[in-house]
Amino acid sequence: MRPVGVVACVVQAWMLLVLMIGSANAQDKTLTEGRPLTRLGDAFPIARGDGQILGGVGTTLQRASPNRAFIPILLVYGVLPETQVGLGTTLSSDPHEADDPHAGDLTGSVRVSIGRETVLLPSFATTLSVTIPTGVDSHATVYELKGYATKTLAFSLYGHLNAAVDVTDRLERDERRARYKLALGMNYVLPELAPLVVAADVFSDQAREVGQTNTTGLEAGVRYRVTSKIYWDAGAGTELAGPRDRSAFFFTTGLTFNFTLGGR
Amino acid sequence: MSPIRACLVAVATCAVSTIAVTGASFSEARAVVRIATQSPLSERYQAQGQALASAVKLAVEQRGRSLSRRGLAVEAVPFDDHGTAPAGVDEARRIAADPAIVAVIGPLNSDVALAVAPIYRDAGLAMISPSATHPALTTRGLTNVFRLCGRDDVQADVAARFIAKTLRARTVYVVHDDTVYGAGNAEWFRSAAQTRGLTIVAFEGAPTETQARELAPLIRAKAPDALYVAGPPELAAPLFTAARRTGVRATFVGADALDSSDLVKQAGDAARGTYYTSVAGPVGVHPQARGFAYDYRKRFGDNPEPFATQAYDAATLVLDTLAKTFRGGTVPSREAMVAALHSTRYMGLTGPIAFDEHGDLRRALYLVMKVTVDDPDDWDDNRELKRLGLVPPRLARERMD
Repeated sequence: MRPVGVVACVVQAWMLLVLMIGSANAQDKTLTEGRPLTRLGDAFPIARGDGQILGGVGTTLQRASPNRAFIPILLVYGVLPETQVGLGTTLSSDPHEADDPHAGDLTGSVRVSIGRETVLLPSFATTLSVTIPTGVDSHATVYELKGYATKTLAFSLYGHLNAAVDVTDRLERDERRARYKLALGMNYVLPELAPLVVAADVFSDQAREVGQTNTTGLEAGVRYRVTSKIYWDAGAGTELAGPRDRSAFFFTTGLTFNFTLGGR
Repeated sequence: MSPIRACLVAVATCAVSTIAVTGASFSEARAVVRIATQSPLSERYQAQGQALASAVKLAVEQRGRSLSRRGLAVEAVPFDDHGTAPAGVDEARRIAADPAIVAVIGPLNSDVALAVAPIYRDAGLAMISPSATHPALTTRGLTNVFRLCGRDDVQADVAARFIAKTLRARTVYVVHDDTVYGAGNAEWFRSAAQTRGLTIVAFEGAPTETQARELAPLIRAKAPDALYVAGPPELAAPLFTAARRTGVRATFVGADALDSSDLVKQAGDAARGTYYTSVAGPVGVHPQARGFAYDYRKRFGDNPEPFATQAYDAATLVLDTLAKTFRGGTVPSREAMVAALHSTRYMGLTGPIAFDEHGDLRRALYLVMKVTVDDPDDWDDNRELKRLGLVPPRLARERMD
């Protein structure tokens, strides 16, 4: 098929999707998994029937291995009140590199929001995800349990803490069976430019292999409401400490398409 | 009658009487309280008024169960005030006379709220308005009055600042609906606009649709940069439509009364591009309210109008206060409810709720929105331009002192 034909097909598929599904309540003020920050998400649920398609491109400049581009794709959908499911993958220009998750692996997840925020307690959510080794050179299934806590800190300012542990079923070399990941950050709606949300976090991932240094870094990003259905985001960060081949700089940008199945 | 049949009749009689006695004693042991809603369920502001009543009903259905298990049944009772002070006063007297009513959520409109607040004060009833913005509501020393939204004096200044700094307009034509709310909001706007360096080229009251339409040629003759409207869609829609037909090129700006899908329903294309300030905003403004929006649509088959989330918060606040004050099967007095509300700190879907000594929110939300939708069902998708959290002016002054 010629490139023009491919573009036409994509445009037609997009228009069909837009016609089939109604618009959802705007969710541009929240941190969806991976948007605009790769490590941080919020604990707010999406309503039953609401969903998001997240797509984008990114690049990482590695300190030791070749630099590469990647394409993260994710679909999340509220199947029950306070419960959403997700399906995603990341494609890479160099799928043989051992990224996390591995390029081409398919990740399915179930997320449940637990309780509403009170004066003292934050909102909580938890996600159980399974990453299947469908990518090139992948060898193990990874199970991850992740917890989210979100607290309103001030007007339009939210604080978030994410803590995760993942377990790998088949180990190679000196790989750890289980390892933790932590991220702490905030997001803020700019008062004078309300369509724009800014966010930042610091993160720490336990090293994949025993003896390696844990990865510690920081990232910042923005999310902008283009229309009530479409948001643009961009984020950038660096891994300050970690194994020799860590990312000196990574950048992602993409679009989120917000929808409700069956209209509203 | 055979012995077997006699036995069956006796057993059945015993069973029925046992059930009746047990049921009666059970219902007698249960205390019943009511939360009244007061809003227009007909005529002007009907969409928002109905949403207020529906949101409270939903809150009581969802959150009243835990109180019910503790022996306190809670009912939501809607009262229709037609959006007018005389009807509101009649309804307020009925509400005050019902000893089972422990709090009132409403009124929707400032005119009604100002008229009925003293009646509720005399009855010791807490009145929580999710939407009444007139500053005088909380500056008259009525300790039973609370509101879950911002105030017109602040809102009008937000509008004036937006017109002067963002739109870079210099001249403004002001129209209001001649109600306590509309005229009051317009006066606050005039004062703020002059402070911000804007020139008010005309200041008109137009209580009827016909009068609103008749203003169009006058507005065209003045050629203002902006037309500011303090009134409901029933006033703004004919005014906007007639103004555009007459060739008025001014930017339309309005106060929170325009924050209703009725504006698009009634004004159509003429409403597109209108800016309005809001003290409520769409549900999407509040990330925690996503579930509420879904539940509301599922329960009532319609989208929650602006102020519905605030009404839901008001109801859950009352239920939370009831839960704290209902002890040993004794229903809290109306006075106890008022006192408890004054000291409350509560996290609602719209954010932290805490009142100052006058019943104003310690920090309230003010938005500047732009009409970008054509379909009334998409009203929540209007574009949010500014989001400000501001303290009441009095509180700010006290802090400066």
